[in-house]
Amino acid sequence: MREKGKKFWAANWKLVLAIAIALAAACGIELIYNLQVLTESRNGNSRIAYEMQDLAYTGMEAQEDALVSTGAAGEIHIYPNGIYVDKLVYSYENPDPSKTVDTTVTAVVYDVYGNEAAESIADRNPYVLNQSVVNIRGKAAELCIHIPEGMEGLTISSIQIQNVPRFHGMRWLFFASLLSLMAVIVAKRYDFMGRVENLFLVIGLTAGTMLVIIMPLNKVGFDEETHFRNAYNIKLSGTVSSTEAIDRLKEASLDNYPYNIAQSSEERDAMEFYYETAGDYTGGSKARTEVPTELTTVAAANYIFMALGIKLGKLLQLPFTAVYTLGRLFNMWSYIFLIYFAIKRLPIGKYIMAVLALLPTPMFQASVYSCDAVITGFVYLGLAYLIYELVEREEKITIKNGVILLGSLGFGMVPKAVYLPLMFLPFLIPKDKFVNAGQRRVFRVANIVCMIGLIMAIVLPLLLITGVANDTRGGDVNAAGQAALILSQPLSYARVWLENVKNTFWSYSFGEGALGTLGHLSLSTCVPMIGLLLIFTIATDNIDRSEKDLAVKQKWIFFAGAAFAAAFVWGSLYLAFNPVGATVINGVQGRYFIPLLFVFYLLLRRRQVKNTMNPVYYHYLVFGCVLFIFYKTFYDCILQPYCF
Amino acid sequence: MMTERRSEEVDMKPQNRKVICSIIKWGVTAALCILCAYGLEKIVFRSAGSSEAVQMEYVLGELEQTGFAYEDGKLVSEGAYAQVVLTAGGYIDSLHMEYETNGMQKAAWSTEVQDFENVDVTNAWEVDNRTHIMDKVISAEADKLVITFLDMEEPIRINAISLQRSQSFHVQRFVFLAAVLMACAAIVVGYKNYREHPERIVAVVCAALGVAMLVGMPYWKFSWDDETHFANAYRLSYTLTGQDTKWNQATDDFINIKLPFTHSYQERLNLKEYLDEAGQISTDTEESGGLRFVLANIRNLPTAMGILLGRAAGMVFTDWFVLARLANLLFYTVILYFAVKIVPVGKSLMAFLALLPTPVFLTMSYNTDYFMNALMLLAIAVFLREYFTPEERISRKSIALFTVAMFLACIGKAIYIPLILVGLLLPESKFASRKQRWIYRGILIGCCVLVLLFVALNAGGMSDPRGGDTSVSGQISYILHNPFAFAVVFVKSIAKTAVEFLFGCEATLNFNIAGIYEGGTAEIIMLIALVLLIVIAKGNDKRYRINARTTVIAFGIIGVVICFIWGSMYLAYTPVGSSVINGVQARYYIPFLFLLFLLIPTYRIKSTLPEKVVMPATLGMVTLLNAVSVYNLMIMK
Repeated sequence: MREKGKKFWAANWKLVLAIAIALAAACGIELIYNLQVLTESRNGNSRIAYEMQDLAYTGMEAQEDALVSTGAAGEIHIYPNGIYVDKLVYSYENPDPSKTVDTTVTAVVYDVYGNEAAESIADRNPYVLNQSVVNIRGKAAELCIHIPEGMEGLTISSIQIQNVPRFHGMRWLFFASLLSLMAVIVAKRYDFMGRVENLFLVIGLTAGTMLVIIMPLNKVGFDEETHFRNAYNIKLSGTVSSTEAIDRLKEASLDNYPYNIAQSSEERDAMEFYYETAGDYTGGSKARTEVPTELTTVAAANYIFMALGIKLGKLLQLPFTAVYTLGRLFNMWSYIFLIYFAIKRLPIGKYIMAVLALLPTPMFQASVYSCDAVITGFVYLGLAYLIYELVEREEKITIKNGVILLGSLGFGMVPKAVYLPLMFLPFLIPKDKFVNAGQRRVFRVANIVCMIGLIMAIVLPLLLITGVANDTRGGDVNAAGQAALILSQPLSYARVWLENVKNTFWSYSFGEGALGTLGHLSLSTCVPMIGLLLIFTIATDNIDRSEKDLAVKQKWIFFAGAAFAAAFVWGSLYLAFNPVGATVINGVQGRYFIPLLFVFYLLLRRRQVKNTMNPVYYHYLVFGCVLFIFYKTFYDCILQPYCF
Repeated sequence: MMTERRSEEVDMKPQNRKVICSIIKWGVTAALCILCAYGLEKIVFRSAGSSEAVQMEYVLGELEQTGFAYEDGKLVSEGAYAQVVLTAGGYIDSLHMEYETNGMQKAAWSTEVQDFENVDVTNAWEVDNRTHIMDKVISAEADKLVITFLDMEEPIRINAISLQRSQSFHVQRFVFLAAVLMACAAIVVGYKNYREHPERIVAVVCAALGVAMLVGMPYWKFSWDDETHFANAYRLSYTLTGQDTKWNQATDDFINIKLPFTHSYQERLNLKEYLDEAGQISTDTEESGGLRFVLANIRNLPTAMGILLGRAAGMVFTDWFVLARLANLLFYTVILYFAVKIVPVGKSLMAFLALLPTPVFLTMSYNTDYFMNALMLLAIAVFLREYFTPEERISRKSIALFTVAMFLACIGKAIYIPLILVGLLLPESKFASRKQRWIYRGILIGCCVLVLLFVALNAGGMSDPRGGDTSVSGQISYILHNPFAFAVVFVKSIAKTAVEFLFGCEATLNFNIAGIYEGGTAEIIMLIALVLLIVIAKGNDKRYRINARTTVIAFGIIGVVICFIWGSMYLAYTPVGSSVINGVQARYYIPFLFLLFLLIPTYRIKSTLPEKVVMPATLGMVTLLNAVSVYNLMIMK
């Protein structure tokens, strides 16, 4: 045992040392972030509280130690006289339960030259809180809180400026994970040669876990409340323990409003504190309720990973916020492992899949409650097994591989059967890949059964549930009417469809729509770079200088499958989400095309372009860019606006 | 003797036959393109409403209208809002109106009568007070056409109004189609040239795309500083012959940006008619610029030659106006031909960068950036040829070509002077002796000094008032007082724009006044092609490897140029103490893009894709990008 330990230490001491240095460096970064605050607090400016009557204000009335909105637009002016302001803190009480408190804070701060410049900060407060902590982070001449019109009775009190040094765990984690990854990539550079899947796994697990942890606690992903409900209420038992506060997270409610998120680490702490009691599902809690489990659709099976995370958290009696995070974490981990096995299996296009899977939107979808990650993971796994069978002509297909291939594709497509055309692709496996005619027949029949199953997944809800074909969020929707219109004017529909495809093609293939959208949060700040990196990776994927590739005919059929699936996406939304005769197809989102993108990129790959770069440098280049895009995007879109 | 001559004749025959066959082949191709374009124009574009009556005239007094008074056979508006309803009953191609007004007025058309408060402004346009005839394209099927005049500050008097029911032959679109078809045909027909002479096809495609863009260019200011460069070129055309400059009404209107915008083919014809008349009216005479003026405006030389030639041939204003632009195209095509011919590696990348819409647009306008872009490509091509043949001695011809091209390119914009120093990166083995090497270095440094001196002597006011409250001395003092803050602003600005300026639409699909063509598909085609061409630029040949030292120094030189670009704009075009640098445009990066992309160490990525595949694909993509963007942003508008 001791010998083993010694061996491990001898092999990994550099790595351990590098990670230790990385963690220490992250502490150093944390110190740098606190330098200005430390200086101010040493000058006695750690907390400056303001008496309400000493402040200049309009549209408000002074009442005891508070200012109350008259209903007109109001302003409260604070003059810090040029000192550094880390945070502006104020308490509020909102008498109107139908509204959230959305104010605007204008900070007149000094720019790099010392000139005054006004910055406007939208301070949209979470519904469940009553104190706002706004990050200013600059020397301020003036701060002004703008109260919008119609907030009659809103009480503002306890206004203060805070310069309190604080160790931000999430910020530390962010930099620690980044620096550790860099250390691992460099220290283990030779181990990753020819094993890009391992590199993907390390990056995916580290960065993915960090992302889930820093993710805001309420709904940020599209329809996240529904997905959370499906995962939480999954039919693994008769009832599940819950609370009213938890139930409100399962529906589109003000508690869960995606544009009123905790905007500072203090607000996030307050949210966690709130859910410690309001979300206390444990036995003996007053808030605890029992709710029946639900079998929503066949697709509920795809929520199993998230559900397992939730169950585990509850089994360990963790606080609700930890349970909520664990559900997301299991979603992320399942996605990473599925893609890991897919990359491992792929004979070509490994880098393309690794890069694509680590880009902001796929990772974001995996870090929130959503079935997109599982769909993408399983579809990619199925495709990887299929491509392997098509490219490796010498090997016979085994039963295990056949089951994984069809099972992955089928299971992955259940929630979104619009990808059905991809299910035709296994028919491309040639005769000589099968051990005998019987095996081939069984495989083909299984393939057909999967297809029928998927068709049923589309048709049955339409037949059994009235109105399910029409999504009322799209307005005056009538699927039957729309279908009749398409059939009577196929050319006009084709024109509408082509126009919409043309207008969104870039965005949904290499741009922000498919790869830079972060649910209800802002767009990635690295959009042009995402496209550039992808194109570069597609052009240089052939680093093993292999002559292997899909045959031209197979490529065309793959393209046709992906194109039909894309057409189904557009068509289904045109039917179910758009008023009859609409010339713009609403409701289509770039993330729907992520499972198809790998197929599309693979077609652009040219085996005539051979990459003879040293794989170590190639890894540095490609995954360096991946890390840059990932960390910059989430620094700009999550860490800085919500976790400071 | 007789036998020798006979054998020569025998040798010449196949050669002559080849030339004749080639001429016939290209002649037939061109004829077919013209025929196809004619067919498309006649059949496809004229289909709507072609069978119906050509024009519908209206009697003003009998028109259904609100807000107008009928006076002396004219309609005169009485308030801020007015409306005219024209019965149409079918396809309407365009609306013709003769009018008078003293201010720019806003109007909108619809097929329904609307309240003045709720007018749908989707089809709104400016009724220009600088002209009195308007031909607005409607292109819609309707029972009636309602014209609403909105928020009028000055009254409008309508003298005549009519509807055009069918399109007349659109010469502009016909030439555009013929030129685009010619570019496509050249890519296909010239397939035998890709291995040996790709530059020939590049030149043909360049000329065809230039012509396609030229027909879309209006007669008014359309590009960056068009009016200033036009004035310089016009004056230069007189200075070259030692004459005083004779200005006329048309030149004055163009320079003072007084010409109305044209939005239809008919309006373009109306403006052409006006300009040709105004071109006959003399306004002012200015003294000849002299040699200094010629040198300072050497980059206007091709344009000036075009103007001079047109004037000598007795052409009217609009004809020599177009001829001058054709002269730019000729210059650009010839220089590009030689650059592609000379450059040993990255021919497709060079062709792609040179033929992207923005560089072609710069060529077809009066802007002089094309002159610099073309010469810079030539100089870099010469440099690369010499760099990749270290075993051969550098010839005097190459030195002269590189130096002259760089000198002429930099004399117009001194910020590119550091690029001359790229020439110093040639290896020692290129020179017969140390002496020759030092002479060569001396020439290059002398060239830099000369350009600097010339620029210093000709520098007028350094601050550009278009930037607002600018002051070079004030800004320098500010920087010296806040060096760290300035460094932050500087680095931030460069970093923030880097990706967009190098790979985005700003420098590639930008048509200034017409806008940036940001159609999703165009961007993706451009980006995919660009990245692929960069990656495979060095092909599969081990010779084409730029060593690390050269790469670092060349990157450094480009970095200095970028700093000069941003620094000069911060000093001259940005208000003192601003934390944002104004005025820097992506087109300033075009001259060094080819060199920059070729410096990227991609030699480890081997491409076995043959030139006969890469080049036509490249040319096909630029043709597509040009055709789609020009059609949408120019021809359609």
